[in-house]
Amino acid sequence: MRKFLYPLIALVILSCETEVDPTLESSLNVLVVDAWLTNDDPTQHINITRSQSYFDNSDPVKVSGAVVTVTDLTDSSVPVFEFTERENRYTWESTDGNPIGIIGHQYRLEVQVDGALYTSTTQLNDAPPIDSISFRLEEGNAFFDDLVFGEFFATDLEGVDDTYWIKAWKNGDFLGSPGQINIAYDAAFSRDSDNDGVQFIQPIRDGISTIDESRDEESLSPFNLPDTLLFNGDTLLYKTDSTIYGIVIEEEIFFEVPDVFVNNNVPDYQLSLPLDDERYIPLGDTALYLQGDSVYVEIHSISNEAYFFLNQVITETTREGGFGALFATPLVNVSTNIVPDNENNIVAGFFNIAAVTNGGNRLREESQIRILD
Amino acid sequence: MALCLPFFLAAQDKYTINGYVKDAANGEALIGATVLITELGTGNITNVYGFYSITLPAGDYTVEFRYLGFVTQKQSISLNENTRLDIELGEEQTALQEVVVTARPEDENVSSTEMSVAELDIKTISKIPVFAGEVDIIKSIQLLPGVSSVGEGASGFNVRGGGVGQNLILLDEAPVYQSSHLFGFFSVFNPDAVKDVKLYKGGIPSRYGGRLSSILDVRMKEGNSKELDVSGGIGTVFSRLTVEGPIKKDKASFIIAGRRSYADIPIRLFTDLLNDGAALFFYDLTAKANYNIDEKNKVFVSGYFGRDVFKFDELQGFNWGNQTASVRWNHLFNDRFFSNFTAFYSNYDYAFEVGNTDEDQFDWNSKVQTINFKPQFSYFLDQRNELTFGGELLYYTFFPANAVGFTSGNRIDLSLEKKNALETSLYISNNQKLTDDLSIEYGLRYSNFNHLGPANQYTFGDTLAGERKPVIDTTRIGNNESVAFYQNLEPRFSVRYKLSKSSSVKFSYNRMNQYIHLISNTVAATPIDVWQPSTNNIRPQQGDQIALGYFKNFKNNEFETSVEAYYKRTRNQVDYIDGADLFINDLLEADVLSGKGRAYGLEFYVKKNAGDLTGWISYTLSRSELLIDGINYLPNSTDRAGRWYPTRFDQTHNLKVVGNYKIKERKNLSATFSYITGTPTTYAIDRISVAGHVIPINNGSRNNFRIPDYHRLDVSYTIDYNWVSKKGKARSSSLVLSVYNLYNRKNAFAINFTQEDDRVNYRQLNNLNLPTGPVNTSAFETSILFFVLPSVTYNFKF
Repeated sequence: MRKFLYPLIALVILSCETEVDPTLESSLNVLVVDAWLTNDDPTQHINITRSQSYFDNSDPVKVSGAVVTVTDLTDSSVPVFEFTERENRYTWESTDGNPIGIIGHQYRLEVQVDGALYTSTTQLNDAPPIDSISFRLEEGNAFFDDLVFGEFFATDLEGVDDTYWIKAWKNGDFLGSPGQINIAYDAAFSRDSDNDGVQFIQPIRDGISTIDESRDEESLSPFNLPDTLLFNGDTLLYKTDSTIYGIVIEEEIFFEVPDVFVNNNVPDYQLSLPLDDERYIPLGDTALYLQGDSVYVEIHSISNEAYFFLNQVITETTREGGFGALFATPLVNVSTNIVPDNENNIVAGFFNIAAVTNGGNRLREESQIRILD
Repeated sequence: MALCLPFFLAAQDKYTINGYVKDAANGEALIGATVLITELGTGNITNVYGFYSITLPAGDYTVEFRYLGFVTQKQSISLNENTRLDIELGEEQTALQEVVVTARPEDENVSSTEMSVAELDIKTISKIPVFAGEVDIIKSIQLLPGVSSVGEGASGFNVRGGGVGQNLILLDEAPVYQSSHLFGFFSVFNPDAVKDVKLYKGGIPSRYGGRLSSILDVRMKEGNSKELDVSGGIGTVFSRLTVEGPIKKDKASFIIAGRRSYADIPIRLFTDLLNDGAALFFYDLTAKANYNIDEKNKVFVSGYFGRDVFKFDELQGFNWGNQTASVRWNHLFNDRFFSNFTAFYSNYDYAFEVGNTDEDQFDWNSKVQTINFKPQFSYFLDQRNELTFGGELLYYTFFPANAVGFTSGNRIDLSLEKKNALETSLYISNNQKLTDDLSIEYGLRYSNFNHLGPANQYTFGDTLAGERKPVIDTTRIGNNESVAFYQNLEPRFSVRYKLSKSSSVKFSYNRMNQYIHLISNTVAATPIDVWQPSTNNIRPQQGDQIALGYFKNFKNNEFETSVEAYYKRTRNQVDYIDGADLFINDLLEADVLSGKGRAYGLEFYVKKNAGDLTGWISYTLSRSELLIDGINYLPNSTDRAGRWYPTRFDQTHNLKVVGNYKIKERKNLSATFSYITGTPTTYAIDRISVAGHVIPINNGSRNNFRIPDYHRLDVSYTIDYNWVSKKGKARSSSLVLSVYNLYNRKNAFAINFTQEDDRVNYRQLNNLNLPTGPVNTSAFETSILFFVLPSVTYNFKF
């Protein structure tokens, strides 16, 4: 719901934010079980960590010495999946190349650590196929320039109470910011027979698109066609195996980008400067916009409990500052489906096992962009 | 203290003086004017319609009509028959506007049985530009003891530790559900059209009911019945225009007052930002007419219409507003028997529109409508007893959500069924002067509430406190059958004992019931909160309050002082499970928790009424807490038994200082200072990494910290110009220069635990074998209106 208020929040500039450093209570050091398994990968990971002080920005540290297993409760003939401690995680690797998970089966997670047992049970549900992914022009208004949205089309499975997590990648980068969690209860956001078995509603379909802001706070189109012309001030790219470098073009030059360029093989002859010239700036993960943006989408089936959990995660991780603070709810703890054997042991985290379907597309030419009447 | 039956006690040798007291300049009824029988030293006070009635043994009397700021009139009468005395009082010649801060009867605070009343007459309110150079009723009320708000941008107000939804706001008897424009920066009442404002914080008379905390009774002007008046103002944020005048001189008059904000007009003129149908403004229109049919009958018709509009483009936007309409009929059955019949309609609604085309669109609106009939009677029994009784019939229709969406042309209807309810009440009370020093008012209100079908009646199973309750049974309730029925008796009592001519002690008790609940779990109340009737699962809220006060005036009423202590206990207070879904949720009841509350405090008030320097100091020391299972429990508590936690609007210290200094004729400097303890908030303690996200957690405490204390100084300088037109009409205008937040204090509204948006590439994350990449988490303080805000307003009256 709060989504609808965001434009309003942007409108009112009567507020400001200042970073503060309040003193918090000492760390709770709560055990965290982070087990989100999928049935599409023969390698699966589970993280066992502890909570850390809110202002501690270090990486969470693995809790060592845990015994971690997943059991198929529906079919007792399936051998127990044993996760072994590796680097920063607990990992299971298939010996026969088959992943964990049969649709409709119940699974039980057991974690034994520091003499205590933590368990959780969930069911693997199915996910609907992605019918298509397309691009749509969103004509500019007072607040936005023209934007190109990516949109996936799929239909909720028959029967109420199907819940999904739609994950998206743009140019290979996972859209994993707090505000980018895109979840669906049947085809919409709540339990209602009207939402069952129909195409996902537009906010969910559009959820694979993110409007970023440029440095001067202009809204950037979620997806862009390949640039065919370079102008003064544009950046010419040069790519090595691991990093992309760029240089700001200083002269007014116009040239057609050759095909080989569009295909992301930046030819050396385009560069009139030696590669170690200081004017090349490492661009890190900046999108390869000479190529046209790509989008890759996965639908993960999740339990209803996981849906409510993720809903809470959205609330707790996307606290709007400024005027949005008016609409903020009090901070509360997100739920957990991990159960300790002794109620004095406090635990956080979640266990889910998902079926995964996927699809993708790349914006190569203008004819791909659907224009609404 | 048996109630006396009114009709049989009229002794034969007693006669009645009655009538209306009005302002000679414009014919407006004077509310609360004193009518004093000089020989007896006792008298009465005019009611909200300006009516009084005094019954005395036959004899010769001098009747004094007094109203502060007006010339006292004396009339000698030989009382040997029932006498009608309609009086018009003229304003004192000493330019009233500048000398007198109050236009209340002298020493009313000491002599009335009423206590816990926050009262500001419109003349006082108009001396305090509270924001952007504009006068505002609700912001002014917040300068009095026991009244507060959680900060700029918060809709509504809090009274004695009660929630925003526990105030009943009445505009000419009709309830107004949303009192704020522009998220609380302005209130919906146009001060130009308001005559009188009275807030009952405790000792609430039995004629009012339906909310736990307070009753804000706003009375509109009737309109000048002598001559046509045009007044208005041009301000920084909005402009006002009021036209009032006689329809038929001294018989009928009208008033129409309108306001509109115009932030959007310069934006539209100088930029193309709003060309796509975007808009940002609010407006309101208040209108009223009255007609004196004869000496015994008067009718009033009044209406209010206001709306806030935010549009992002032609298809997308957000708006909200109130509409009320009321018809009232004052009828005198006889010289001592006054009646008023009110019928009203009130509507509050808000609407969202989002989407890009007709094919993919989501429209959502929510509203609450009330239709009411309310007969009220006052019987002026004798010199010592004034009996009031009556009833109220309220029919509510709640539309929690009319939500229709289109997804690629397919219609999805997420609308929730409307809910109907009938609230009925009957009341009686007597204001009795036992002796000259001892007065009591005692009354009883009976109220019932019937939530009517068609509707689903849900039965929920038991679960751990604080979890969503599972539905175990759904019963379909037919048309006009009852989903839930509740009834209650509400005793009301107050007593005043005069210690001397200028001091008194008062005590009061009241029980209140509230059958409809404002569903809101945000930091501040907002315009999109929904009202929910009581059901078989959500029980009516109930509250008891006792208050004790000492009132003393000094120097012939130049100084008024008071100290009041109160203690409130409430039951069936509403809060919500963690992660509650409050919008478009059929099973909202499953997410509602219930518990009890307590609030107590001490209120100090010193007011200076006369001289070049006038104003007041108000200080409140208070506490407001809730105890609800499933909230604020110990982390390893198996039954999740709640522990007391402070409400979001708990403010330990609340100090307000208001000063008004007359520099010289027509030049006025006023200043307002506020100091308020920071409101409670919930802090994170730790962060966890789950599902690729960094999530804040704490130990289950609610409101375990406080944001920094709030303080602010506003000043304004007013220059008045008065002149007489060629036709001999008094005209005036004034220029108000004001500065909000003079010393540029950046007050905190909230503290948010946030995290940076940037994320490490997912592929890299997998290589790192980490649950989440490095994410920086931090805390930010949000300030709303954090700057010095100067403004200019020009007011005129022709």
